[in-house]
Amino acid sequence: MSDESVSLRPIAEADLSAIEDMLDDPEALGEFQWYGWRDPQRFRRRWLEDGMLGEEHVTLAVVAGGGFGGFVAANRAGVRPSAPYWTMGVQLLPRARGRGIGTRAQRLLVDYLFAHSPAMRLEADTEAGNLAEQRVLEKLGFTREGVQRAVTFRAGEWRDVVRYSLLRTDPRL
Amino acid sequence: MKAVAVEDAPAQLLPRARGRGIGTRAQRLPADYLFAHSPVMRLEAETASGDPAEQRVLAKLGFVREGVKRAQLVRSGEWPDVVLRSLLRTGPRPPLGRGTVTAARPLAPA
Repeated sequence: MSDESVSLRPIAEADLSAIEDMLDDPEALGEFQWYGWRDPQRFRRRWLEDGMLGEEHVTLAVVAGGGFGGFVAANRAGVRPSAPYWTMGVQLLPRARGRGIGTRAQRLLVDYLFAHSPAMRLEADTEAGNLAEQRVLEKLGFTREGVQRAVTFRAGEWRDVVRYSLLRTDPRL
Repeated sequence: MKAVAVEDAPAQLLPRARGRGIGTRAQRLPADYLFAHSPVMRLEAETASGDPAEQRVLAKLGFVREGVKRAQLVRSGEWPDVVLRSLLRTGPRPPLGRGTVTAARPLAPA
């Protein structure tokens, strides 16, 4: 892990083109995130609408070593409206990967979500084959709850997904 | 794509219909219906971990236990665990037992 500083801030207009370039590029997205081309304007529209800081969705820029390195995001979920929780994840630009930035960015997001909402539970999931992200989540203190079979369709096959959670009352590592 | 059975009550029987295995057979019907009329790959059912009867019903229907979700909802002032199960289109579906539940239909107006 490097010494470069990692912080979160709202998405700025200048970040949008870097995000759009990445989402359009299967290689840049990496093995587990390529689901085909989608509306390239969707990030820009959401940014214009609410700065990507809505009640249901929060997206924050990851700043690493002073530059834009990708984003973390959380979506509100819940089986009942009385007990909402967040599902969260990270997407780094290729140039920001492999240096522990994703771990630190997700730790910051965990602290942010527990600080600014009363949610009891944070949820994260990752494909069964994505061992790197599973290691990151375990390093942050997430508990592996189980493997959901055939829950996502990518590259011609149904894929299993590992579901993790971190409760407000769990130790945060 | 996934289809999620209704919250933690994928079936809700009237009190007079309980305890006779009707729930098991009745829940087999929507599984067959959903796989027949949609291309969905996966059905999900979530149950309070403290409800062994419903666990048995789902297991009997071929729903495989995938894990336990913690603190997903509040009931009686507590955060109970919820058992997540799924049935895949490609998974074995045990035969429907004999019984009086032979059909499902849309709810009729009162």
